[in-house]
Amino acid sequence: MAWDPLVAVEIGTSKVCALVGEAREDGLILITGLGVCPSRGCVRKGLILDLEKAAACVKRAIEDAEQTSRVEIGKVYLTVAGGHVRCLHSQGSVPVLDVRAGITPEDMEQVKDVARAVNLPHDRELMHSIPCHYLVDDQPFVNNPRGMRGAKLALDMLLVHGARTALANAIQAVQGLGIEVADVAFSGLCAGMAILTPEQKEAGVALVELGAGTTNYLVYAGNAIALAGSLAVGGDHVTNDIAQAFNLSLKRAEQLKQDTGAGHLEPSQHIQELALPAEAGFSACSVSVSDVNTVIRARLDETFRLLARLFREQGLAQRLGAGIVLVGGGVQMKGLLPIAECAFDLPAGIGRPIHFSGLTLAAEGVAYAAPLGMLRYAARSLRRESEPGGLGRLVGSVLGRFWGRT
Amino acid sequence: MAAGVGHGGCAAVAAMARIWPKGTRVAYIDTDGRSLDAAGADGLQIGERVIQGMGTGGEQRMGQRAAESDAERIRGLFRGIDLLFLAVGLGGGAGTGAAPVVAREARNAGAFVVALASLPFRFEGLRRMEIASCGLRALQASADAAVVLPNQRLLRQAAERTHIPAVFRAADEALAEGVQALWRVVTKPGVIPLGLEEIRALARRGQGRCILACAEGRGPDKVAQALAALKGHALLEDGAVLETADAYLVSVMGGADLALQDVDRLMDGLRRLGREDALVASGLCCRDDWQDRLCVALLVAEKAEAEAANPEPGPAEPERPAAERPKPAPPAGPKITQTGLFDTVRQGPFTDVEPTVVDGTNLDMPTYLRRGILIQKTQRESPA
Repeated sequence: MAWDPLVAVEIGTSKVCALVGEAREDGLILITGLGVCPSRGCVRKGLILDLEKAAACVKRAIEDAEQTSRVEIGKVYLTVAGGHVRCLHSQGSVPVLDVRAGITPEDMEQVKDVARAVNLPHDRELMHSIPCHYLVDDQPFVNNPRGMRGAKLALDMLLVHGARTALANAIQAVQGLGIEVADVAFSGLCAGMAILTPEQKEAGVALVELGAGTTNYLVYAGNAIALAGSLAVGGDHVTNDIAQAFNLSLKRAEQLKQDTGAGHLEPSQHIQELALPAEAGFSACSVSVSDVNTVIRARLDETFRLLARLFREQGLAQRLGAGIVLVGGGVQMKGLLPIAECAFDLPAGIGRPIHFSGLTLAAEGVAYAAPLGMLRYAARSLRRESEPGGLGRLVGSVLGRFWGRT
Repeated sequence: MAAGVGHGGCAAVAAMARIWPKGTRVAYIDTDGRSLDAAGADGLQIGERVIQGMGTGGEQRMGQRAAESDAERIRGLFRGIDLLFLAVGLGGGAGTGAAPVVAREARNAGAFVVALASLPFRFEGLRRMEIASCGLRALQASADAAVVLPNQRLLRQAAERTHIPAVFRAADEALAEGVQALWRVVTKPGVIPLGLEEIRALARRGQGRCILACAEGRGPDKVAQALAALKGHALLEDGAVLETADAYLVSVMGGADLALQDVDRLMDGLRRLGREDALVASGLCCRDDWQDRLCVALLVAEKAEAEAANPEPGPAEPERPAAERPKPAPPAGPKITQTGLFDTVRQGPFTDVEPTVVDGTNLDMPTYLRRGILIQKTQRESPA
């Protein structure tokens, strides 16, 4: 059975992109359309600052996607990121309804509702509620308690929440164009759906998405999501560091960042100087390659170490058998992996989208991990809806059900 | 306390322990398990998980990783220490990579860290010198003061056909002598006291390169002897360093019989050797058991142009962002003592957005600034 094309939109700090894809029976998703519009200036650190301009960017991106895919887009799935996204663990427990009959889906629903009923501050909105693992009486780490005998059922749940206004702005940017927003999800979770393999999730893995405005992270441990969130430090911080250090325009700093990279320099490069011609508002100057390299490495190292410390504090550092997987536009930085490996003290690699085809994703896939993952999420949610016992379409309660297990 | 990091540093501290028996606590930090065998209980092997007890093979990154992986143990080594002299021979892997981390951890433990770093001989090759320069920059950022000992200058003192081991031994001893002189400078209660703050202030001047030279004089012309020794001192390049320095620190140690005229003649002589407008910090202390003896230790803030072998590009106006001192407790917030470097006007891509603050640190502020890494600003005119 073929489904209608699905559209995922990501409103990011450097670009807005719209991806159109068709899902196949076997889970493969064929990308049929892509539209990208630069969003510099109206989105910063993942937050929309200028709603009109952002909406114009979304419109451009969607129109381009419509052109390439030859599909008219009326409904999209939206991914969001921003330093405001946090997660917290909550627990709930219920007495089993009928001890003799064993644990039923109703019991599981009930304990989920209890675990979910956390009082968030009124400016926060629940985005995802993800069951991590159940406890049946005294037995912990139960993946599927259905049918088990026990008197008490408890659940450890991960709640991902974001700032209400930020989410509302993102939704409005799309809805204002007359396009329906079917669902909203956190970019990090989506990226995980596109990149991570079941083996990685089983072994424990941390996905780090390096964007221009934010760095999103998603950690699997014990085959369940243990941590998810966003740090408002991204590629723009590296560019700004360079601009500040050498008194350059942001545009020039960006070019210098990409040219120089963060890798170990050859001996000849240590004393190399780059001569930069004059441009509007800035006179000609020369910079030392070694210094630029140092500035970049300092920022990357710091950012990774912050995350590494966060993982350690949550007791996750020892549980990441598959190490670190890096995605996002930032992975194009030369010499990134050794810095990550040193900071995390774990093996690190670049992630690739799995089970996708179409367009030139082989080369660019890493920068589109989040919207790709969103397509997969959308495909799965539609498949489950067409099954009996389908779920309602509420932003917030639906989303969580599709994570936690693959 | 004195600690040596890496092969060169440990050798220097060992030399020190030889000429200074009743001295202070010592520690030897290295990645190579075998070379630490002789050190016994005073040795600390780092990076065992990372390198498995071998050397770093000249890889500075390995040295750094080794030190980072044992950061806690290193910090524990310096608990309760107020003053640490850290000796390291720059240019290789263990010392160059680990020393900045060790300095940082020692500061975290509350110690005032004076690093004494030797730069490789020219015959060791350009690559080692470059690695050493990088390591020196990192050390300057993470220690309170960094004193530099360019080994190349010692060659001039050595006679023709001196054996290689003797040359290196001389380098170790020069480092050890330096530690001893500085130690006395700081720890002996002085008639005119000289504090750690003066040392740190001197180290921060200019490029942050300090040269340490000491000279002794005995007998009736002890002053003249000391002055002559300083003038001809290899490390001061026959006085050239002193001539161009805009700041230096003098510590005089003499016996109870030291006369005011002696001190006066000494300071006068020094003033003639150096610049008229140089900033001088001086300290004087007297030892009861010394007679007719004078020891002068000179800590000079060197101008970078004097160093011809230095491959760093000549700066027009080097920028010195203030370094943040790491506190043992989580920092309350970065102390921006250099204003105008990150004001609201130049927030660039982060205007109108809330600053990213984690644990009291504003991450929007460039990392290199917060870590005290010295960056040379670009020249406004391209060189002809």
